[in-house]
Amino acid sequence: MSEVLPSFPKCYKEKSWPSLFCPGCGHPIVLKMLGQVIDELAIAHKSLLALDIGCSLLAWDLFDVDTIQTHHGRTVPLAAGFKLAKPNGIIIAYMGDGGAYAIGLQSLLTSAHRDDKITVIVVNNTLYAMTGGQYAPTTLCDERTTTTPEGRNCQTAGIPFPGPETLSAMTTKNAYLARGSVLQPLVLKSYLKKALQHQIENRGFSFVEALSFCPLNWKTDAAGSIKFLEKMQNYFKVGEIKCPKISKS
Amino acid sequence: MSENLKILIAGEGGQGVQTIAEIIAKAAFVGKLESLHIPNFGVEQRGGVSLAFLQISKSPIPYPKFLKADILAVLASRAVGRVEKYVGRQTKIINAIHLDTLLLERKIQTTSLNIAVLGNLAKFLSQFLSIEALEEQLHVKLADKPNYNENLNAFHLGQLLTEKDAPSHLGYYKRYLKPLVSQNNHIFFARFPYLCKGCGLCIERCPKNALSFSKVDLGVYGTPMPQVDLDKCIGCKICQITCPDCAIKVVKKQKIKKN
Amino acid sequence: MFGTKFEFMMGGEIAAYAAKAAGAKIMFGYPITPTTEILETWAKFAGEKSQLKFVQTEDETSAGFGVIGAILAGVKAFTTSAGPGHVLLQDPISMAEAMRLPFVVIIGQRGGPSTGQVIYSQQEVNLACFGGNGEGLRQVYAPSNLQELYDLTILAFQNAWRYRFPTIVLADGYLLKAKGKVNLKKSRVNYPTISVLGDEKKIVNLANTFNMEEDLNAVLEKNIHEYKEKSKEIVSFETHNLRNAKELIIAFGSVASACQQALEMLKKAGKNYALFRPITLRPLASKTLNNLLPRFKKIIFIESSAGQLEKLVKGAIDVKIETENIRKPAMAIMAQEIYERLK
Repeated sequence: MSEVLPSFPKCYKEKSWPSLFCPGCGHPIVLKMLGQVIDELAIAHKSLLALDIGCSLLAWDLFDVDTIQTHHGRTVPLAAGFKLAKPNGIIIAYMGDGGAYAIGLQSLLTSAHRDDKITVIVVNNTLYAMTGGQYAPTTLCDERTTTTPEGRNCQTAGIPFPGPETLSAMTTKNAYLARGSVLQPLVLKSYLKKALQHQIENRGFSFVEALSFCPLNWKTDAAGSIKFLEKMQNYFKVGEIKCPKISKS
Repeated sequence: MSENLKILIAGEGGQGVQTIAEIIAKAAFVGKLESLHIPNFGVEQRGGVSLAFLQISKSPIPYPKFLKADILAVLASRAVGRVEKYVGRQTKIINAIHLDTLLLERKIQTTSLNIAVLGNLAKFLSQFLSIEALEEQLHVKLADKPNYNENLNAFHLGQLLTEKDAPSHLGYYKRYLKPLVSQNNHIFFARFPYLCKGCGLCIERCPKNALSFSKVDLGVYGTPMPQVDLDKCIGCKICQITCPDCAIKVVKKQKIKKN
Repeated sequence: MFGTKFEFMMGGEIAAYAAKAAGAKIMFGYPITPTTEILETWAKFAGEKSQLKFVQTEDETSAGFGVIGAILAGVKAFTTSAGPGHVLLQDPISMAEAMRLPFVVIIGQRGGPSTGQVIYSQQEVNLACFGGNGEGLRQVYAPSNLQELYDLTILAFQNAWRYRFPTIVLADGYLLKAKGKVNLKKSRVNYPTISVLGDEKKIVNLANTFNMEEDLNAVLEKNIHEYKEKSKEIVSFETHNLRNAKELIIAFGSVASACQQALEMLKKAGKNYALFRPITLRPLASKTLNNLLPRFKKIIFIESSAGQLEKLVKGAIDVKIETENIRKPAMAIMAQEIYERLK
């Protein structure tokens, strides 16, 4: 038998693996699905993966795809600027829930509102992971983080931020909005593929939120991580929030 | 040894490098000495290089970093390149990169590697600190955490380590580069130790309970890897799809057609 | 530069024409007085059928990061702002400084701190030269009249792409709101653009985050060294009446124009003063100044701030010399006032 090799997506930069993500982190599951989609759509050569600050930035050398690290919350405007200058490029803005729904929310809303033809992927693990597990807009009710030591009080501090649902209200019918989970990687992959196809065909803004594990900050083992994610899925409903019908004309 | 003892402990994030530095620093403080510990790390929570700069002295310590270490303990091969420049003529090196296998032989989990290094370091701190003082702070820090007894065993084992176990040079050999393959007539199952971080997601997601942690195979962080029971495996690939780090490859062999 | 094409225009319009003449293709911006006319003029350029594009963003930060995105794709892009917007722009300008990107911004200084006033000041020197969490590796051009606003804006684009340090045209509210005569010369030089990302034939992974002190330090040392080397080519200044005077006025921008006028008035009254006007505030012509200063017994700093220019210059010279100043923070300084003080 020939040499046995790992089943990396073709667009992975193999020498960079194993990645610097923690054991059991959900990011590399999202990235693996994204990598497979990039392979299947054959867009590695014309894609740009723009990475936000936070754990997302660890993906900077994992792909044989152009990448750039931006500032916290500034990935979407940079991606929009790049797309305007290079309309046939495929731009993927990859960020966490803090970057998307807190510091970068204004830009995310504006870009979605403007129907920029870019793809935004938000990895939601309910907290700021790289800085050690602080409260994020997505923190669940009663969830303890280092900055909500008594648990998030949803009576006084609002509800966990519903990302794609919010975008749904202010995007045109051309937008593609979905929420997947690393518990169902292949479903997540199908959303990522639709989102990127959406961009390739220049149909409109596309957005996928991926519910994801953060065992280090959740302080969970594998079983605990899965249980936590199931709890997240009770609140953040997985599915397609806006999926334009494609007329074949 | 100098009045101001400069210790550098280097490993990968998550190995507990800072934990043992804190224990030593605290023991020195309790022992009415001056001590100063500063972590030096990158942005990632795990997998990056983590350095602990630690100083113990009888007089105040003005600055947290130093040019050359008196003692250098290295816990991970990836840290070697980062610390070479801190090695001077006087530097005593403790190379603990391959201690994990020794620990496993003694039925101690590799997560206690840092504590074994602490035990070994204790020998070189006697001018300032007694074994008892360190053990007391080990207790304060870790007694209420799981595996405390294992950590204690590792601490005692560390004191007994010889030059052979933890060499005083920075050389290391690469291992775990080959995939581990198991197969029967139906299933081909490959595991890649250099990719496996031992998260256990595959074990939890397996619908047939065909996976469990191995007692002998270690992944890239020296933590146990999953192993497969081929009699239970149905080749559904859920483990392969779930594995964040592409450390599993499953191939269902084509069934031999009847007739 | 060649040809003549005289027009009667407002400064904001002139800046937009200059950006167009310099080959800019995309503008990102957010309305703020006194730079709004630059946006409005560019928006007219960027019609449906035009090759030029305009995006009115949600804030200045976003405008700056849009500029960075376009530059990475190899397209000349720019933004413009003032005062509080200039504060926000330091975020993307820092990134451009770190990544050596030809970021161009036209600033219309207004009164500060905070919202201040929307009219005029010279209080954004510190911000333009050293804003952000870095070492101030920027090119800062300070025009002193409408023609220079046009010429230096064109030069800013050329030198941004030539040297790849963020480049700021540090104008002010007077220059951008004033209407006057300008020669919209065509630009002969057009420094070629290159893309950093998006070349289908090569893969680029760009990190902007370093893991160890040593890694960042190595990049910084290299950039600082290159900045010092290129400074010799970038530095620009103007002098007046050096021969006959014992006292040297140092001023920049609009105030330098008033000083030039005052110099003539003083000369007629039998008083000789010299004028040194830095055209680039960063890098500053420190070598020239150090050679020049021993001939004088005093420097007089004149500026519409509480000493931002004075601090900048004093930090760059190693000659001991008596100094005096005329400071009017966030206020105009007229030639007549200077004359009265110095006659």
